[in-house]
Amino acid sequence: MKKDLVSRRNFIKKCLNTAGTGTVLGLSYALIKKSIASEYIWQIDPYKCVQCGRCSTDCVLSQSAVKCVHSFDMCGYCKLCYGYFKPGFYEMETGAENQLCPTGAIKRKFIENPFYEYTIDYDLCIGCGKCVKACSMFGNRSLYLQVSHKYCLNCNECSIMKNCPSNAYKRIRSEKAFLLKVPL
Amino acid sequence: MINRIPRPEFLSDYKIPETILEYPSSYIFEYADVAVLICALLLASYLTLKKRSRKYIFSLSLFSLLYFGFFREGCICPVGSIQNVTIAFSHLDYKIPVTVALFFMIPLLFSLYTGRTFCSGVCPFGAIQDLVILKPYKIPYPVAGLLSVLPYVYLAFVVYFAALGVGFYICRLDPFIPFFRMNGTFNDFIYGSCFILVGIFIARPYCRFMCPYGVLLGIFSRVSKNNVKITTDTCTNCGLCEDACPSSNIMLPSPENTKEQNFRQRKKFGLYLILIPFITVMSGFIFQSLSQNFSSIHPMIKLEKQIEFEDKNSLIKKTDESMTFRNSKITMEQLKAEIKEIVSKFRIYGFYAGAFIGLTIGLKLLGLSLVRRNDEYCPDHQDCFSCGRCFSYCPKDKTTVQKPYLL
Repeated sequence: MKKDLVSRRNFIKKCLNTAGTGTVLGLSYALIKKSIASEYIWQIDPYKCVQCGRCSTDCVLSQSAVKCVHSFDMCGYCKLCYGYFKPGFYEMETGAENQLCPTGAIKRKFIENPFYEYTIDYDLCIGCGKCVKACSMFGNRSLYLQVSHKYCLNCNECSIMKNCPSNAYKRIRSEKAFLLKVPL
Repeated sequence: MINRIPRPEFLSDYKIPETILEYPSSYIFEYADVAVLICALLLASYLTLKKRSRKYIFSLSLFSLLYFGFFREGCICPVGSIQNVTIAFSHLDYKIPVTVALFFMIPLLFSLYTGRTFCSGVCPFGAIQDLVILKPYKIPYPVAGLLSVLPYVYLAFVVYFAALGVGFYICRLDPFIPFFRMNGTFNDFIYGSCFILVGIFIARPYCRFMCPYGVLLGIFSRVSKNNVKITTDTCTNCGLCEDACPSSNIMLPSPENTKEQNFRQRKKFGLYLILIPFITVMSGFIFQSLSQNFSSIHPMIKLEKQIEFEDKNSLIKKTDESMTFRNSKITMEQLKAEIKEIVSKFRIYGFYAGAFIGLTIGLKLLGLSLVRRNDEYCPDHQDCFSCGRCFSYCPKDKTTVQKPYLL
C-alpha cells in the first residue's frame, strides 16, 4: 500500500516534470524567435530632447552618463557662442563667471578671425543641457545630448527615461551606439 | 529647420574635425555573464546534490554576490528579465536580446532538474540576504501562510504594469541595487537597509515574500527530477534539522489520521475545488473594476490630468511634460483617443492579473486541505532555497561535523 502511494506520487511528479520541461522549451523557442543577437542600449533622440535638465540629476551614477556631443559639421564657429557665454556678457572675457557651462567643460580655441572652435571635455560634462538649450535657441543646434556608453551602466529600466518629459529616450541596438544629428 | 548661422569658410588650412564620440568598449561581458551563470548553476547543483557541503555552497554564493552583484552591478538579472520577456510578448516592436532571454530561461530549466539551486548559489540577492541571517526567528504558521501569497500578487502586478508599458517595477522596487552600485538616493538606502535589518531576524525576506522569479522557480522545483535531501541515509525522525532551517521550510512527518479526519479532509478538499473557479472569476472582476485606479499610474494619463489641471488654474507653472505636449503637433483629441485605448487594455489585462491572483489564493486554500503523507522530515521543495544548512545538523549524515556552522 505504502509503496503504491510513493510510486503514484512519483508518477504524477514525472508527468508534471515532463510538462514543465515542455513549457520551458516551448517558451524558449518562442523567445528565441523574437530575439536578436545584439544588445539593447539606451539613447536620446536629439530631435525630441527639450533640455529639461533632468539628465544630470536623474541618472543612477553620481556624474551622469549623459554627455553633450558637438557636431563640428553643423557648428557656425561663432565668436559669440551662446552655448559658451552666459547671456549678458558681451565683453567676451572667457573667465569662469562668464561661461554658461557650470563645470567649464566647453573648451574654446581660436582658429582664425572671427572663428572659434568649441570642444567638450567629457570628463567634466554633467549633461545638464544648458549649452544645448542656448545653442538650439540661438545657434545651429550643433550641441546636443547623448548617452555615453563608456559610462552608462545600461540599467534594465533607465532611471532618466522614467522621468523624461518628452519620451526622448529609446532602446537602440548596440551596433549603432549613438543617434547623431544629420547636418543640414 | 535651417542653419541660423552660415557655415564658416576658413581661409587657413583648418579641417573640420569629426564629432568626438566615446564608443563603449564592447558587449562581450553580456555573453560572459551567460557563461558564468551556466557554470555557477552547474557548480551549485553539484555542490547541493552531490558534494553536499554548506561551506562550498556559501563560497559559491559569495562569488556570485561579488561577480553578479558588485562587479556587474546587478543588470541584467533573471528576476528583472521577467519584464523583458513580458514586453517581448506584449510589444511587438521590442525584440529581446538573446542574452536576456537566456538569463530568463536557464535558471528555470535548471530548477526542473536540480531544484532551486539558483537561489542558494547564484542569485546575488539571495547571497546578500544569506550573509545577514544571524538570529532567525520562525514566523507563526498562519502569518507565514498569508505572506506566502505576496510573491504571486507581486508577480501579477509587475507583469501587468510591464505589459501595459507603465514601467519596470521590479527594478524600481529592487532593495539591494543601491548597495551593489554604492550609489542611489537616501530613500533607496533606507529601503534597502530595512530589508537587510529585517533579514537578520527573518531569513531572506525578499526571497520569501517578494521575489517574483522565486514563484516560477518554486513551481518548477516542486516537480523537479532531483532535489536537495536533508540526509542521504535513512531519516531517524530526530527533528534536529528543523532547527537548522532559517526559513522553516522543513516539513514534519505527517500524523496518522483517523477515518473521520480523513473524511473531513476530503470534504474540505472537495469544497475548495468547487470554490476555485468561483474565486478566480470573482477576483478577476474585482481587479478589473479596480483597473481604473491603477491606470492613473500610466504616464500618458498623468499627462492628461496635468493638462486639464493647468487649463483650470492658468496661474500655475506648467510642467516640462505638459509644455512638451503643447509644443508638439499632437492634438488633445488624439491623446484622448490613445488614452481610451490604454484604459481598455488596462481592463482586459486587469482581468487576467486578478484571475491569476484568485487562482493562487484558491490553490493555496486547496493546499491547506491537502495532507502530504510523508513519514520522515523532508524539505518543502517549493520553498526550499537549498542553502544546505540542514546537512550538518543531521546526525546520520557521514559528513556531519561536530560543530554546526554559524552561517
